[in-house]
Amino acid sequence: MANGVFDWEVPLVELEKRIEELRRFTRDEGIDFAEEIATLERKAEKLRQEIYASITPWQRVQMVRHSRRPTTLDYIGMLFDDFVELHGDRTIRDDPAMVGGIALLDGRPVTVIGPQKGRDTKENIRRNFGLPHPEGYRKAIRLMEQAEKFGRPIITLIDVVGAYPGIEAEERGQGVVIAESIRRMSFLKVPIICVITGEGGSGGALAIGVGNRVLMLENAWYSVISPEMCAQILWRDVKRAPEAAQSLRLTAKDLLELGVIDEVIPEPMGGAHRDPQAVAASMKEAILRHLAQLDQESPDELVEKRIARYRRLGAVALASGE
Amino acid sequence: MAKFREIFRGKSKYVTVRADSEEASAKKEVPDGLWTKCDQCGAMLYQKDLERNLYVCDKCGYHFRIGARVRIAQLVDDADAFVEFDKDLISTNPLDFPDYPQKLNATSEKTGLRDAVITGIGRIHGIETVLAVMDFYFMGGSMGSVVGERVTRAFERAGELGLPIVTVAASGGARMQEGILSLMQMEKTCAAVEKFSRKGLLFISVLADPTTAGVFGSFASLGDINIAEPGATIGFAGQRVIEETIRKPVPPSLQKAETVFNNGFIDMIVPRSELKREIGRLLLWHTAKGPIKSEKEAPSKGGERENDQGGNPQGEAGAQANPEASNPQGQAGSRESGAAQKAAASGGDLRMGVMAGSMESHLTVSGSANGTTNGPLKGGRADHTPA
Repeated sequence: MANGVFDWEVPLVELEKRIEELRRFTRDEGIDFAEEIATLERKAEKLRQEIYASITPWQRVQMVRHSRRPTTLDYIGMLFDDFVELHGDRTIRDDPAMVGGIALLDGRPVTVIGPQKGRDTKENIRRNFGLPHPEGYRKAIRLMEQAEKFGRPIITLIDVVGAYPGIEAEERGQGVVIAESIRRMSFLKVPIICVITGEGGSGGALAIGVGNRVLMLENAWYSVISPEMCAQILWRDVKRAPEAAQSLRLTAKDLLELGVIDEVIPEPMGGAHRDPQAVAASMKEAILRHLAQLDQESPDELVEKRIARYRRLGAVALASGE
Repeated sequence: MAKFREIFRGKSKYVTVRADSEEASAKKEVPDGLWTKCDQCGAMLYQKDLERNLYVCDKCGYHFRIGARVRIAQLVDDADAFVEFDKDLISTNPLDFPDYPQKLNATSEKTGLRDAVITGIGRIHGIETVLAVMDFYFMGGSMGSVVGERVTRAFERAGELGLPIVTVAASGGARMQEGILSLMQMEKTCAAVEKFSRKGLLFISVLADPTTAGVFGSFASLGDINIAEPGATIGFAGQRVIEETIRKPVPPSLQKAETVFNNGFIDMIVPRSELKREIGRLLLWHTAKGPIKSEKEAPSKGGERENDQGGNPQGEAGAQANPEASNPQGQAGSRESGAAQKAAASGGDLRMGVMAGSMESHLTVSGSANGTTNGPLKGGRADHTPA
């Protein structure tokens, strides 16, 4: 990838540049290139269809790691009328890799939580590349329990490669905190809608991903393990990550088929960074629609149905001939 | 979900573990007179001594990994009377993951198990208890749909029956080959723990070597009481992943039970020779109807007593009234090698001898005998997610 353009996009991007040039000529020089432009646009559209019809899971994984892909705070800015960020786990510190607070969704207070990647190197260092420590998850638990106290729905926006693999994270009980978060989230008596916006990496994603509804952007991935790590462990060869991405069935379409998610939110061709506003609008529409459904359920029903949703997930068979 | 059911209906043929193949593997049992080298101190250990010593090195205290059936035999009063749940549940290949069915078949043949956990009901010091015991030798003890389902059902049954539950984790984490569905088992088991817990019943989680990644990140962390075995590796991210991330070596002690204990995530570290007695005491303190007599007051009677009615486990073989031995918390306790512990171990010898014998017949009858998990095994691929 160079200058934010993926290798497979290069012919398309070049074509788009030429179209843009012709338009500029038309505008600045008054020369009429309408016919040429129309031809090139047809060609570009055909190419676009070709490229994105055969997009591989591994290409999607790369797409959601695009440096201009909207982050959690970007979506928060687009989805909500207002947002008050709250900080700290009340034990050790505030983890900048996990953000959360109270937001107004069409005038209604909701609690919103999600891991936050940096938008440049400096911010990425401050936010630990969006890899939360245990205190990040503890902050999330605190804010979710606060939401329950005030009867606020919870929206989580998930874009995380995984919980941070580091010495301090282990010392502060990363595994225990993740288990604790999953357990508590399962039993909260308010509606929970989770949206996987980019990367859904394993336990670090599930820890804030137990919802009544789980929605997913078209190019996002969600898996028990990242493709690279899977390839490394299974085949001792990280270069086979594209193969692992295929085998893990981690795309939104796969997960809808497997019953793990409830709805796929479309992205513009080429990825969410090409039109963040449109993606946010689709996401908001889906969130409001599902929330209206969940508003019909009593607190106990919300818990029961949420647990039942996961209880049925898994593929087991009975041994034959015994 | 209809679609889903179709997926596994079609695939059940992948796993064909037959009783005859299990018997065949039973013949590979470790022969008498074999010596085993201790992984930790290198001492040569006579196999029969090692077995009598519950697969703990009598030179350095190293705890060998043990299979689920051996573990169950060590914990329950009568392995013959252990009633297994959900034996027929088998894994499918829901993602069509390459080579997964072959791997399942091979590991089934090797271990004589259908998946990486055995669940069921047995008595510990006379107290009826549900058990869920993982087996690291089955694909690194990885948790896929079958493990998640069996563990979940074990909690559900214990809840319905009003019984306490003891789980023994030995797992590298979630099973990669079932992808996202393995991850979902983390939620399933955590929710099952909480549902069970809300009935006011006791959950003891034993964390054996290793308890990592998706299993440490789910039910195994959530015991009312978390007990670790000495020296067990316990952690979330794999050591190599941490090293690649932080680009420096990780101290080897980081994920040792003793460190995790010091960091506050484990209630106690209990050596294997004391494990059954300690679990028995905790079960009694949570289930007894009347006043309970402290072990400290009662002199040992050398293991003559086996209570059937939820009785007092005090006086179990060699469990002397030694405050240190009966309270083996932390490193010091776990490394304690005083007379009391020796006595406990030798008391355990007698019981183990009997149990190993009855275990054998039980396994043969149930057609799932297996030599290879009957002793300490080395290697064992960790098909797990390190983070």
